[in-house]
Order: sequence, then C-alpha cells, then structure tokens
Amino acid sequence: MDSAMPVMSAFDVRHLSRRSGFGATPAQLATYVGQERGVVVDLFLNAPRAALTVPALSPGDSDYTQLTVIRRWWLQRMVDVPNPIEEKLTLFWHNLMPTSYWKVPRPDLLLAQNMTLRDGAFGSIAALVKAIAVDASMLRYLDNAENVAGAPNENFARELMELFTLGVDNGYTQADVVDSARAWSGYTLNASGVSVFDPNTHDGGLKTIFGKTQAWKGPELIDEILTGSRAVASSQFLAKRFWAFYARPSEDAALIASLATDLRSVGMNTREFLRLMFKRDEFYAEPCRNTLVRSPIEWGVALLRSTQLGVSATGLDWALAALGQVPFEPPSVSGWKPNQYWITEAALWKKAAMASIIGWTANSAGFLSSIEAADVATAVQVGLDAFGTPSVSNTTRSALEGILRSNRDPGIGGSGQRSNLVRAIALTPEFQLA
Amino acid sequence: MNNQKQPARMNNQKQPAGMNTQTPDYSDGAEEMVSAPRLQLSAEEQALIQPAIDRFAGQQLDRILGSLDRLGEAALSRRRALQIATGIAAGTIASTKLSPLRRLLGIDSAGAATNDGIVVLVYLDGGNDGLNTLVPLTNSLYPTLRRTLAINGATTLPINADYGLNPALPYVHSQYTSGRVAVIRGLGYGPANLSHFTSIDHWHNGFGAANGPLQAVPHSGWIGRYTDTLGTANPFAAATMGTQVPLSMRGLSSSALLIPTQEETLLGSRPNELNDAWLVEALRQIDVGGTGAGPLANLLASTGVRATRAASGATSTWNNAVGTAIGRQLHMAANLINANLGTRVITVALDGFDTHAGQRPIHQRLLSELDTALQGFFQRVAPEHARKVTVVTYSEFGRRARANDSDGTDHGTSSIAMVMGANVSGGLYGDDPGLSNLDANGNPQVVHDFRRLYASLLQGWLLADPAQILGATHNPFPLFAAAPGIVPVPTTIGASTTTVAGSTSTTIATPTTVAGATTSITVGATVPPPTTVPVPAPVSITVLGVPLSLRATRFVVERPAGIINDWLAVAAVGSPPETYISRKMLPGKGANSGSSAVIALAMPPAGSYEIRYFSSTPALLAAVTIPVSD
Repeated sequence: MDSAMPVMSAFDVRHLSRRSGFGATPAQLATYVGQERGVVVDLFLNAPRAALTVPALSPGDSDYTQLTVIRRWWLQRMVDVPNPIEEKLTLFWHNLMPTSYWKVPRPDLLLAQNMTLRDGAFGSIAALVKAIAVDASMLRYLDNAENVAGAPNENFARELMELFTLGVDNGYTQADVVDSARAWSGYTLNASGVSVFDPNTHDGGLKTIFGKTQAWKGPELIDEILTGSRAVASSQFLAKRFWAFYARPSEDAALIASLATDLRSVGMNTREFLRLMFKRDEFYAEPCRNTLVRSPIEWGVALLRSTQLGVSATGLDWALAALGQVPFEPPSVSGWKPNQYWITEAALWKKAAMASIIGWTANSAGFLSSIEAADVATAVQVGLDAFGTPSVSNTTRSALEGILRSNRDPGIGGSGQRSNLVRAIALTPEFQLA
Repeated sequence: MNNQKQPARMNNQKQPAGMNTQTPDYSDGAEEMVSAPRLQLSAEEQALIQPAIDRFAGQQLDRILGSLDRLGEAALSRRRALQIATGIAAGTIASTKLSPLRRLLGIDSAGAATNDGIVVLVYLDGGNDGLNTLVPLTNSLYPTLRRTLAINGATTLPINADYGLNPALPYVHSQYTSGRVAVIRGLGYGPANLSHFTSIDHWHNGFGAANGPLQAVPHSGWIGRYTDTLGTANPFAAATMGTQVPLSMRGLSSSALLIPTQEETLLGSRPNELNDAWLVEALRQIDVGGTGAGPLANLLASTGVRATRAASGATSTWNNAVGTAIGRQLHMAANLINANLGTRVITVALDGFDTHAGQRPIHQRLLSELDTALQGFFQRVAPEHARKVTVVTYSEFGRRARANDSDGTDHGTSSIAMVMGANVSGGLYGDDPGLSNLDANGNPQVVHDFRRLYASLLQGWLLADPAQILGATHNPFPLFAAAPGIVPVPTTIGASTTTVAGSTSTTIATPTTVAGATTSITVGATVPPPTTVPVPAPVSITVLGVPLSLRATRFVVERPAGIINDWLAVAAVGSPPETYISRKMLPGKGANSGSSAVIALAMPPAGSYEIRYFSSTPALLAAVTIPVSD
C-alpha cells in the first residue's frame, strides 16, 4: 500500500464511484470518505462479484422476447449490485469489442458473450481478446465463420487490429490485414453452431505479418500484438481507451505513454492497471471533472439506483432505445460515440419523458416525501443529495429552487412537487455529466 | 463493419398521464414589441385566423400551425397559410394573446419563403459498389473481374454507349434521361485507408490542404462548418435522422437537429409533454447563463432552450405507411422542407452496403429501396420548393474491383456520387478510373478529391465559400443549371471576346453584337453599387425565347491575383443592387485567383437582363475582364 496517498474527500469518493460505476450511495459515502485513497481503490477493485443469476431463456420465445429478457437482466443487474464496477467494465469491453443483435439475432449467444466478457474483464487482456476472437457471436458478427483457406474474409482480421487492439494504421499495414485474414481462416462454427478450429479450412501456409514470416495462426497474432512486437502500440491504444472511458478523452502523449507503461508493467492485466489508474492524482484533478457525459445507460441506471426502481417497472430499456444506447445493440462494430455525441435536443425530450415516468413512479413509493414539509433550499439539497449530485452551480441551484417554489404556488403543490423536482434534477447539466 | 439492418419498431411504451398540465399565465398584458415588418392580412384572412388564434392562445405553436394548415386547405392557399403561420412565429403578426406563447417557447424567428438552396445528403453506409451502380458496358475487364457479380449489360438502363445504370434504379434513370441527374465518377480521397470508420471520418470532416493529408483528428464536419456561417438562431438549419448527430454535421459553434427515427414525432416529444408548460419552463430555466461546470455542462444547458424551440416547430410525424427506413427518412425530409422552417441541409442514411458476401441480392434490394425512396421524396416535395432541393448520394468508398470468393466484394477506394434535382445539370462528370490501372490493393484509382463534390454544392447551391469550409480550394463541378429556385433557361450566346472594363464608371461602346450568336450583348449604364461591394459596369444581355433545356450560360472571368471574394450575378435591368435573380460566388479566391474562372450562371426566362460582376476588392476591378463565351 502506498502510504503517501491522500485521504478521499467526499468529491473523490463520488468521482471514483461515478466513473468506476454509476454513482455513490449515501452508505458508500459514509464508509469511504476520510479513508486513504489506496485503501478505497483496493476495496472497490477487490470487491467480490455479487451473486450472478443468469436469466433462463425460453427457446420457444421469439428472438426479440429473449433479447428483451437479457437486456433487462443486464440493466437490472447494473441497478442492483452494490458495487457495479464489473458491470461498468463489462460495458467498456462490450463497447470496444461489440456484437449486435441485429446481425446476430441469437440472444443465447449474446448472453454467453456477456459472460465471456465479464469473466475475463479484470484479467489478462490477451486472454480476453483470444476468448472473444473465437466467441460464437463474434465469429458471426464479423464473418470469420466464413473465413476459409483460399477465400479469406478480411472483416474480423481488420477490426481486430483497427478497432480492438491497435487503432487505425497504428503498427500494421493492409498487407498485414491480408495475411492476418489467412491466419484466422478455419476459426469457425461447426454444424451445431459451436466455435471450433477446423484444420481443413485453415490456411496453414507461410504468412508475413508484422515483418515475420511463419505459419501464423490467429491467436498467436493476439500475443504478438499485446505482448510481442506491437506491445507498445497496443498498450498505448488501450490505455488511451481506458483513460477516455474512465477519466477523459486526452491527446496528451506523455500521459498516454505513462499510462501505457503502467499497463505493460502489470503484464496487460486489467485489474492491476485500473488499480494504478484509479490511484493516480491526475484521475481526481480538475481536468477530469465534468468532462464526461453520462451515456444514456449510465444516466438511466444512475436514476434507478437513486430511486430504487426497476427496469421493467419504468420501461428504461424502451427509453434507451429512443436515446440510442441499448445493451446488445451497438450501432456498429466501432461501438457508441461518446460525450457530446449524446447531447441533442431530441435526447433531452426523451430524457424528460423518462425522468417524468421515474419521478411519477417514485412518488408512489414515497420517494423524497420529507421535502414537502421542508423549506425550498433544504428540499432542493435533499433532492440533490439523493441523486449523488450535492454540489451544483449557483445557476442550477437557483433554477431548481425557482421551479420548486413555483410548484408550491396555490393550486399546484402537493406530491407533484416531488416528481417535478426529480425530473428537473435528472435534466440538470450536473446530473447528466459523469 | 456489419450489415445490420434495424427494422423500425413501434415504441409501445405507455405514457403516464400528465401530472402537471396547468399552464401558467405569463402574460403581462402588453402587446409585444416587434421590429420586423408586419405581414398585412386582408380582412378575410384576419377573420379566418382569428378563431384559431383565440382558440389556441397560450397553447402550443405546432397546434396553431396545424390549425392554420387545415384552414389553409379550406380557404387560403397553403402558401399564404404558411406565411401567416410563420408571421405569427416571427412576430410580424401581432397578437396580444400570443405574446406569452412566444415568450414561453423562446421563438426568435421562423424561416420566410426564400430561394435558399437545400441539400439532402443520402449516405450509403458501408461502401456502395459504384462499379455495379454505374455499370461499364464496354470495359472487357469488368465481366472478368466481377465474374458472377457482373451486371448483365443488356439488363442495365441505358446512359450512353459506355454505361448503363443498375436495373434496380428505374426512377433515377428516368430522371437522368430528363437531365436532372449528375453522376460524378472517380471520387475518393488519398492515400486510401480501407477502414470504414477512417474513411467516413475523412468524408465527414472534409478539411485539409488541397493536396496534403486530411486533418488527422477530426473535430468538426464540413456541413457543421457551413451551418456555423448561418448562426445558431434557427434550430432547423440542419437536421439529421438517427440516434446520434454524425461528425459531418458538427460545427465549431453549431450542431444539427437530431430527429430520432424511432419516434412518433419530429423530436419524440409528445403533445402532452409539449403542453406541459412546467416542463418546457424547466428546460429553459436550466439555461440561464453559464453553469460554471465547464463547456459540456454549458452545452447541455443550452440544449434545453434549443429543444423547446425546435419542438415548437415539430409539426411533422413519421409516416409508418412508407415501407422502408430510407423511405420514411426521406418522407420526413420532404415534410421538413415543405414546412419551410429554414432548413438548409438534411442528412439521412441507408445502411447495409458492406457487401462482403452474397452481394447481389443485398445490393439490388438496397438500390431498389433507394430508388423507391427517392421517387417518394421528389413526389412529396411541394412544387414551390422543388427547384430549391438537391439530393446527393455518397459513400465512404467503393468496392474492390475483383469479386471475392464469397460472391461479395471487399473494401475499395473510389466510387461515384449521384446528384439529383430539378436544377441539376444532368450528365456524367468526373472521370472513370478504369479497371486496367488498379492500385496495389486491386482497387480502382481515385481520380478526383471528394471535396470537389462539396465545393460544387457549397458554391453552386448553398452560396457559401468552399475554401473557408474545406480548408483548401477545390475546383467545383458545374453541377447546376440554375441557382436555387430559378427556372433554368438556355441561351445561345456564341463565342465572343467582348471585354468589360472593370470600373464602376466606365462605359463601353454599345451595343456590341456578338458575331455568330443569336443573343446581343450590350454594355449598359452604371448602376449604383451595393452598400458593401463595388459593381463594375454591368453587361446587359438579351435572352431569347429558345427551347428549354437544362444548360446554364457559362462565363469566363479573367481576374488578377488578390481578389478576395467575387460574384457573378444576373439581374433585371436597372434593378436595385442585391436583387439578383441568380448569383454565384466565383471559385478560386485569394492567392489562387490569378487566373480565369469558369462559372455557369442560370438564365432566367426570355427578356433583357444585366450580368453583374462585383467583388470585395475594388482596387483590382480595373483588371477584371469577362469574355463572354458559350
């Protein structure tokens, strides 16, 4: 343990919790504030997995019904687990190496891929990428199941390097793509749809990839990329992706190089890399504050975690469909675009509609009932605390107070003020940011 | 990249009953001050609309517009009804009872009917096979390379001896034969990168040196930089459909309006939400100055006001009777145009062109969907807007020349773009890279930088400065027979070298008859210069009543180096400055201007007109000459 680390302020705990998960609960705040940073980060990262109940799919149901089951299951798990760090990291990997229902209408396989992602989420990145490369969903999604000797298909071979591990034109050439496709030939599905290596359709000839001529096989490429001759390039690519997802998008070459060195120093192990990353001073510093927009999933899950409402009861998955981010339905193999891409007028209307439902449903459960008797300033603060956003700008605060005050005018008042406050807080810039 | 196709889904989520629908009264009892000139209503019109105003005062503008729409169908011309509706929105029709409504919605203005050009971009997502869209008939390498994927020439729709159009495009073909479709060949960028995402980022970004690399890290898109020049007052200036605004439509200060494709209404806002004045007020309240929480927070806050403004114009709904996603998107695009909200650019997308395997049925289906959707679009656009609309199809790249062994094609480089519209000067543009000189990856060569297409649209249709928006000068293709909204009429001005001295006070001997031409050209008297740019002596021309075709008259303007901005315009004789019938900015400004510029200018119907040249660099006018030629 690094004894030089500062203790965690309330801001630090909320920041770590929002970024590694979906936001701190009052109980988490009470537990972690004042503890040393290294201790808290270790507690977050070493927390055991919450009991995992895999949903049972009924083969007789339609594909779309089954899809609804798995997406609600995952979203509800994000809402329910005490420390959702595994859920957030699985979402990171799902975004980096996605598969969509619209090309692979097999919810059973998508669910299996989700298990592969979460089981490998914290471990060796090479092991995870190798597992995904031969995952039955991925073999369909990027056509590698049809990649056979003599008729190579470049789709997976290209995206493996361009999108999953190296970044475009970062340490590979079109010739490398062509021969990589040959190296991945034969990694396919058998007649039962099970992932297999078929030596009869594998091109066992010599291929020149990354300047080395040998009888390359696909998985050997992943080792070469992540721990061999392309380790620097891949560690920089992945470190930049982690930093952009958890901290902020950055083009700071020195910072990225430093993070990449960390990643290599821990043998490309995700848990140990995140441990180093979450302990960095830069992670808590001003440039990382208010610099990420909560994606629709993060926004919706945070709302439900605060109000203790269910995904099915509120129809969160439908709202997410309108907002453009549903689990298992990424728009393309490059995943969802982040941050300002989520800020649109239409999304605000959609969020307003979702927040209305949440506020209304929460009212029935007595959520925030104490504010009806409180003065306006106190009531607003109670509401902000409940959503893990206690510190807001004066502009936002006075807007919320004005809204609550007008709600208390004669003829309105009553419990409607609670749902209206919930809705207004959900739409504040501060709550929409991570 | 994958060929996912997302069927439209109905959103069957139940909306809870509105919990607070009481509308506060924001009226201060005073009539709102307006500075814009007032639209004069006849007594008959006043009588017609007053009940609507009374009935809907304090409610939503879209309902008033809808009501006026119905009134318009009943008693007023639709155009007049729209004028009245936009007049109310713009404050040019006063109504005490409407003041609180306007304040609530924060409406600044709505677009008046203009001749502003509108571009609708159709992105063929995944890399459209240009070779199987505009099929080469006489290139013997084509059937060899494409094998089973080669389109049988006998089945194609005839373009000329060398090309036929894919048989799935009968509507496009009918428009081509009417001279309303331009097909640009050999477009792409270099050096080629075979990644979908890098390629489309390049296409959407479109900024960089003329012959150098494109900007490596894109932060804004070419349409966004164009809409930056329009200001941010009108939330409808640019619109896109889907779930995220693409890079192309992200400016440095503006961003397109997103129209979600899975929703019932334009913004997905439902009537009970729009009528929830408390919610609208909450959205507006959040934006009262900076939040102090950084630029993203400020962006989020300002979105609230834009959302309320945009929703106020959201009169359109999706038409689920249209059978395809691209059909519904283009249907909505036509609705937006017909609503006359000042929209200048609309983007839609058709996904699925990444045909690595089993290409033929997929590609034929996609082109057929496109063809049907384009037909529906052009039939739906109201006649008064038809000459203002240009539709462009583009894709991030073409396909590999040789078919692969999965009956598909892999990622390629150069491809074609199709430009369609009533004022398009139809025909083939660009150059065919052929199939004998493939690049190292087996792809046809890129002949023309794709930004020549953008320069053509920006200069010829949106009347913007391409060099500023694209970061370099690109030679535009003369794609347009007439400026937006103008009926193109041909002239037969013959080859001539009549020279116009570039001075605001010089008069050249008149009249000058052009040998061999049926049009006389005279140099007229000096007209008063506009307030900001000097006008040299105008050239008067007489346009004779010759048969209609779709050709504009081309002029060559010889200019010295150093011209900053200059234009050529056609105007009624003696008409006031800035009242042009048609106007175009000349290409190649600044340091690049020391040469001749060729510009096609639309000719109005038969009559006498002046051709005016003006520039923001008056000191250099004396050196400008305009030899008139065909």
